[in-house]
This record gives sequence, C-alpha cells and structure tokens, in this order.
Amino acid sequence: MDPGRDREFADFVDGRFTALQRFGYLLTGEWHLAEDLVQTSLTKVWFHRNSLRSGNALESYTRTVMVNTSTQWWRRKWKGETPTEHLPEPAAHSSGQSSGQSEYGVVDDRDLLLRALATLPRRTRATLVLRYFEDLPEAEIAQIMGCSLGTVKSNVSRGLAKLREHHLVAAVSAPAQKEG
Amino acid sequence: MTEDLKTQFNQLVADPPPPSTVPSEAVFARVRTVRRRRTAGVITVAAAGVLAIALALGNVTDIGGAPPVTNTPGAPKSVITGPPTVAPKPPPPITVLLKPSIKGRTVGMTVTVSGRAYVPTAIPEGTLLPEDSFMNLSGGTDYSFGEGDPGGSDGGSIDCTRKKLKVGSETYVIPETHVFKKPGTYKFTYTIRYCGTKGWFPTTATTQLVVR
Repeated sequence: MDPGRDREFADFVDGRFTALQRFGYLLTGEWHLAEDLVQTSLTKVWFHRNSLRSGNALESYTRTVMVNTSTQWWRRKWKGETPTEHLPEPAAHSSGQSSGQSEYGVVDDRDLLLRALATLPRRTRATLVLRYFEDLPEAEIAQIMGCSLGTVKSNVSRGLAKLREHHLVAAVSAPAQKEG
Repeated sequence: MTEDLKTQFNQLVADPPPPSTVPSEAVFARVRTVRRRRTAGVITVAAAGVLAIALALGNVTDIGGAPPVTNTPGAPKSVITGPPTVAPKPPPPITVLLKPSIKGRTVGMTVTVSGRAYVPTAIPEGTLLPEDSFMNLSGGTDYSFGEGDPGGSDGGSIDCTRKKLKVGSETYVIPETHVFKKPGTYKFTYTIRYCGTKGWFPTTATTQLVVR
C-alpha cells in the first residue's frame, strides 16, 4: 500500500537479519530453524508494520513474535530437540575456564550449553537469552514477553539455577537484579 | 557469573551461516503467499446476496423498485405540522456485521461488510482494481479474538485516488478459527479500511464471545 514503507521494511529486514538469526538460533538451537523462524516472524510483522512507528518498535515487536512463534512451534510438533533429565557428565574444563582450552573444548561447551538450553521451558529460555545475550533490561523483557516484571525475574532465577545444575555458569551468586 | 553466560552465548552464535537467499526477498515472497492464501480463503456468499436482493424487490411493485401505490382516491391527505425536524445524521459509509460460530472452545467468524467506498487504484499501474469483490477493495483488515496473536490481511500496493465510488456488500468467513485456551468471555475486534473522501478510514466492529 505504501512503497516507501515497504522499502523501509526491506531495509530493516536486510540490516537486522543476522542479529535476529542469532537470537533465533538461541531460541531454537538449529541454524536452519532459526532462519525459518526469522522469516516466518518477519512475515507476520509485515502485516502490522503500519502500526509500528520507529525502528526500535519494529525490532522489539519482531522479537515478541519470534518468542511466541517458537513457543507455538514447540507446542505443535516435535522439532528435533530431545530434552533429557540427566545431561552427560560435563567436561572438566567447562566451568568458566575457556581461556586456555582447545578448539574442541569450545565446541564441547557450545554443545553442552545448547543441550542445557533445550531442557529449559521455552519462555524461560527466551527470557535468559533476552537478558544475557541481548542485554535487555527486565522491564523491556517483560514488555516483549507480555508478562509481569516479577515473572521475568523468577524465570531468570529459575533458568540460571537450571544452568548451574549443568555447571554452565560459575559458582553461584544471586541472579542479577540491577535493572527494573 | 552472568558475564560468563554472555560469553558462552556469544561463542554459540559466533559463526552464523549466510542466509540462503536475500532476506527481504524471502520475506516478501512469504508475504505474497500468505496474501494469496487469505484471499483464497474468502468465501463469497453470493446466494445470500441474491436472496436478500430478491426479498427486497418482493416489497415493491415493479422492476424499477418503485414503492407500491397505496394512495386511494378520496382518502384524507396527511398534513405535517410543527417545526422542521433536524436532518438525521447520515449513516456510516461502511457497516460491518459479525456473526460468531462457537463450537466448544473453537470459534469461527463470519463477517458481512457493506456500504460505499472508492475503488482503489493499483500501484504502479494506476488502474482501478476489479470490482468483482467488495472485500478486495479494502485497504486491509485486522482482527483479534481477544486472545493469542492478532490476524488480518493487507490490501497490497494500492492507492486511495477517489476516482470511482462503489456500493457493495460481501459476506465471508475468516479462514482461521481460534481455539481458546480456557473458558471465559472474550471480545472479538474486527477493523477494515476503505478509501473515503478523506483517504483511508477504518471501520471497527466488536462482538462478545462467551466460551464455555
């Protein structure tokens, strides 16, 4: 309906695709699924682009749609992830000692983190990614997730506790609560 | 602790594969597919329209639609007295009627849109859109079942040029049904945009859904 806005939207898609793809990978655990998730979500966003004023609103809404879509996918059908109650014994060097380890060690850590993320509830996983990968304040996460600030805090707390069980985060202090 | 987690996240996404195609092209291709699917989902209830017209014509005496002659010779003529009445406010140009169908927690919606609006022109051709469907003359729709993701459609690349006025009506079924997660009372909201004398204007209708 508005070629100027379509051009603007295309610029947004091309400019932010890789960043959104990374976010999608942390939500899904597979690169091809991440690409599919981003394209699906951006398609949904396109139909509502006229009501989104700024680029920030567009990106924020895109992340909301990505979180909701990935949750829907996970509910609807098996996506290849196999959450297990007990993870394999973690490698000895995986507790924050990455600096001196080999390339294989880094790969092991990645695999371990992906497996641990797969055991988390979808929204807890998304909350952790938004908080510690995207560095978003808790208030903005609450807006994206469509939940209360308290729910974000408890999801972060539960998610970190779960990762600590897998020795993926170092000895444990209280979860970050610096932002509201 | 959290820096450690951030580092691990960053390592995890350090090497994203290049996108399989130009991202915006892929997204627009999907948008076109969705729009085609939504258009295909529109079911015109032509028979209902024909029936409604037939019933309306049944109340008049001739093809031209003139009212029946009831004035008999010698009958007293009514005289209107009193101050002149204020001209009634004209009705809105577009009327939207919503008819839900509720089966358990699954809700579908039938929408009837009628009224008058300008026929949009296609961009960049500048030609008037075909008038075979009143619905397709709209600039897009948005709807929400009061729970879950909102839906809608987009009018595509069209412009409100106000060249030709069209009076029309169409009934269609929204192709997607919605399944509510829990019982309750919800509000369905539907908005459709048409081209008017001052540009695109929305018409919104709502209906209450009681899900048991």
